[in-house]
Amino acid sequence: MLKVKIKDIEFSSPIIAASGTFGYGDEVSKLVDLSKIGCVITKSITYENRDGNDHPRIHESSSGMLNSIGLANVGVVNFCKEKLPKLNNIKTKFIISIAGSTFEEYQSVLKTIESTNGEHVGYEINVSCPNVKAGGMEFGINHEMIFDLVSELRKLTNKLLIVKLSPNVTDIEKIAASSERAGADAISAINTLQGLAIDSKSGNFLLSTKFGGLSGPAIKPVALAKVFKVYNNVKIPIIGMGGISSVSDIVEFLRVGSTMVQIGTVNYRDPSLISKLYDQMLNFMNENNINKITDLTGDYK
Amino acid sequence: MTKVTKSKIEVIWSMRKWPKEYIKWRLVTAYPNGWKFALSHPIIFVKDLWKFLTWCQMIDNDIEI
Repeated sequence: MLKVKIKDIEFSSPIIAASGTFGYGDEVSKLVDLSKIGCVITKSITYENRDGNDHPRIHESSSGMLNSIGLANVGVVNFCKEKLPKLNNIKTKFIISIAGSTFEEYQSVLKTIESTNGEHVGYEINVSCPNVKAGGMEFGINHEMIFDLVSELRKLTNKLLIVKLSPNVTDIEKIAASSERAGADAISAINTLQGLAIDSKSGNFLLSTKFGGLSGPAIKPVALAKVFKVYNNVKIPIIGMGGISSVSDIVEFLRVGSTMVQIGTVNYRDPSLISKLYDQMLNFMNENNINKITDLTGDYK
Repeated sequence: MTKVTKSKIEVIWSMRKWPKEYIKWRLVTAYPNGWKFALSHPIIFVKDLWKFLTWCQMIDNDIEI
């Protein structure tokens, strides 16, 4: 009933865990029924390990969260040695998020992972992280650079290639179309919106980097608009995300064109929320006589 | 004004099953040196924890489960 396919990969559910909100996947395996999660997307992996930005790098805001974690991760070599063997044993599919500052870094990360025996079904290319000084965001705002990057990465793998897009652009649909032409199998939309927080009394910025990425329920209307625009400009599936916290939110994202959805910020409140949403989604479909979840994709009037 | 339906104690209680690997990862996410930073900056850690618990009380209004 909830099964969906992207290319030749079948997922048990369209509801998946967003990168950076579920660790590397193995940390939550004792807490969550992973069989009820369509897929886990790992934290973004770069070539070298990174401690990320200085403290403070998370600021909780109204109905959302502002973060500038800065791609803190163990680096690809440690990831393949320590994390990948554990991920190979988790009870659901997983996708590896990769990030970089240069074309070469993205290629090196992907090549290194491809040379191991990972059971992952694909890669999410993070070209939209706003929280690193030199980083993916440069790729994420330029449709020609996206085309070149995705074309190069496409040559290196037959696994799913998903491009995660930034909302901080004028024409997200143009960048999505470039990704599709370059060989991407799906689009993830959207990453965080650029935001800033400042203390009204002291005048101090509340993130060490001043700017951060806003996520959570506060950005849902923006995310819905971006997904809808992308849906009307590409044929490849869209994995919608941005403030989803309930079954009605999931259905809204499906109706504007998503094939799957990612749950992100609310995982910080309750990592088991996704498995609860799986049960509630089944109830919703039974109550509304919907046989296939895919019937909801693009079902707007 | 957002209505708070759970006390901070209830929020902490709802997290009682979080595995230590997960808590360790959350600390790595929040701080450059993870738990080491939290231990060496206890006042910052307690202030951050308080802010996080307050946020949990608020975000529960958005989560319809």
